[in-house]
Amino acid sequence: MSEVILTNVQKVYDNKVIAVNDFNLHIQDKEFVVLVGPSGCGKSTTLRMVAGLEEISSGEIRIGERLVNDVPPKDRDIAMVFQNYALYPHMTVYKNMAFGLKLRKYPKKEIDQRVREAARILGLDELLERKPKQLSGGQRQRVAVGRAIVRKPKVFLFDEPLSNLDAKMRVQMRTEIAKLHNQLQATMIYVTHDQVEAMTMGDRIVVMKDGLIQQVADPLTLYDKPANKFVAGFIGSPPMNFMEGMLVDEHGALFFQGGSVKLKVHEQHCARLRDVCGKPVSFGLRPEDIRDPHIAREAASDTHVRANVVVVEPMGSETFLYLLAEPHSFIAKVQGHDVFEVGDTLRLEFAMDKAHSFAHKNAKAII
Amino acid sequence: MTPRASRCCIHAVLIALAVPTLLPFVFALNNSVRSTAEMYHGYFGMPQALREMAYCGWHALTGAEGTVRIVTDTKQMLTLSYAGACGWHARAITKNYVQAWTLLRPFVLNTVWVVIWVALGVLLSGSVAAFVLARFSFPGKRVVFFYFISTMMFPGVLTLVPSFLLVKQLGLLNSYSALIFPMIAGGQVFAIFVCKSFFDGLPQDLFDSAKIDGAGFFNLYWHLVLPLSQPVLAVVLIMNVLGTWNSFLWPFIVNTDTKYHVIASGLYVLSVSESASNMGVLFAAYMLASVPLLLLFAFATKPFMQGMTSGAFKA
Repeated sequence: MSEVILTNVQKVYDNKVIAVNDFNLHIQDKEFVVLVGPSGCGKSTTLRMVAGLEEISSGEIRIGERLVNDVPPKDRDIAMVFQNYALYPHMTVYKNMAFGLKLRKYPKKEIDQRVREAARILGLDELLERKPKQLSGGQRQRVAVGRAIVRKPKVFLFDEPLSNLDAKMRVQMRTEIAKLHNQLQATMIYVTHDQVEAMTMGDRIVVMKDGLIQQVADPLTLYDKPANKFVAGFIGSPPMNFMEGMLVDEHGALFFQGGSVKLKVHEQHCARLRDVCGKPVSFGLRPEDIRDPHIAREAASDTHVRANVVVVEPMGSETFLYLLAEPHSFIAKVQGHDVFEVGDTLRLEFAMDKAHSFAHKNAKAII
Repeated sequence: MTPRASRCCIHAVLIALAVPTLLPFVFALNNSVRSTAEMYHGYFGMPQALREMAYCGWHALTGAEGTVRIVTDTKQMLTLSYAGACGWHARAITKNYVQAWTLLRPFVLNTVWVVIWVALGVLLSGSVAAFVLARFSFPGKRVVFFYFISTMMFPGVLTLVPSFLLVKQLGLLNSYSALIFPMIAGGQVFAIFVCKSFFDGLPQDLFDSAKIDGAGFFNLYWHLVLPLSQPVLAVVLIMNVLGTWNSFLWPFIVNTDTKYHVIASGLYVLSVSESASNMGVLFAAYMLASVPLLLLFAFATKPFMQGMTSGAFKA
């Protein structure tokens, strides 16, 4: 079993900065968990604590059955892939991959067998005698992955491994790592700041901010039911639109009102929102839930918003419209071949059944 | 001014600056193949043996008939063909060097012995200390580093007497140890300073990666730090060899026994001994003493430059 269990883990630096606070996570055997969050949120620190490269200030880390708080990195049975590859520049690809096994005094024959097997899996057979400087970014990253898999560790740790690659190579390597996970059936912990990587790769995603876990869930739950405003804004591209306003009761019906925008709350949400009636809330809606003006023509008027087009971003299959309905700015994702001009006034339908509301006080999700 | 003219001007200035630098070297080289009798006439002028050799060589090459009479140092009269005379003068040219080498050889061997041990000691202790200071955290690390660096602020002459007394109390006077240990102690400070700056620039991820691969202190040092630090270690080596090879005052003070003299102190001893009466031999000894340094510069300039600029540019 190669579970990883973090219990009340905390990391406080000498200057009293709390990098990771009260981190609790149970990673199952063979699970692919992604830690995601903005820079400085503590995700890399958490990974380095699991690796043993950072000491933990308090709490417990277990790998398998074993408490590893004081176990040095080499004895934790883990392998790590770094953002800048961290290949040994003076060694060939073969020696880079064999280094860990050589230090562990594996027989030469087994080292050779494992290195060649890993090279075959990663398509590095032809490059074994090359030095890292003779390789492209993608090849270097594959060598870094190869160096990890030859050891057959219990847990793989990835620290933003695709950040240094160009967009095309990143997509390709993303698929390769996902395939590798299926093939090796190993526990993997993957750190990234890219929410697209997180959504596409992870069995479960841990969203972090300021050293705290914001939410742990599978990708679709995170997307559909964000625990708070931060998660809602972080997951999804373009991000969720937020409007600050107040809930008002008019003849038994609930309305969100903020500036020039007034929207009728969907019936299924009324029960939970009635408690915060008269209080300020953040209203959230994803760009794809703001419907195309063609459809909006036939929709009921109490879910309509009139807005001016500020910027048009055609993406081919879809178009992002940056809109302004005083005082709110928001983005709508509409069909790609509709033609819009900056300055157009549009009437858009808000899919209120998909709306989210967050408490003004603590930004926690109400619906 | 055209680029070509500007290049010519720059070269003219550089040559003008190089001439005074090269003059003492040319002076010593010229006099190293002259006899003492020639030097009594003046320190400048083309060596007679070289002139005679060129004259005889030219006649031998053109197939001229005839013989040449030569008076040896022992007043013997020799009658030789042009080719034979050319060979005789060629041997006369190298005679000073052969004699100088006989006198200098023990000092050269002593120096080589000391240089090897000092260089090894400085490279080892300097790089290990720098590695620890650059890559490990422990209380008082900065204080230790600044303590090392502060010792560079004291000129060697200032510590000459206390160092001498220490070496004397340790009973090391007139021994190789009197040279090797103090020179390692002195040389490692520069090594620590240069190596630490270099090691600081190595990516932390490399060390983390090696730690996860299973490397401990020794493996990190041996498999990672040493291979990656060749340029900077070359700088330390060159500077150290130069310093040790040229050191005069300390070896002269601690080793009064001629048996332990190194090149510089040995040359001084030669210059005040009866060998000094043959000035040609003395100049030849000076030239021989500088040959290893010239070779070092000729072949080690590239790694030296790489090392000196390491860290200045992103790899």
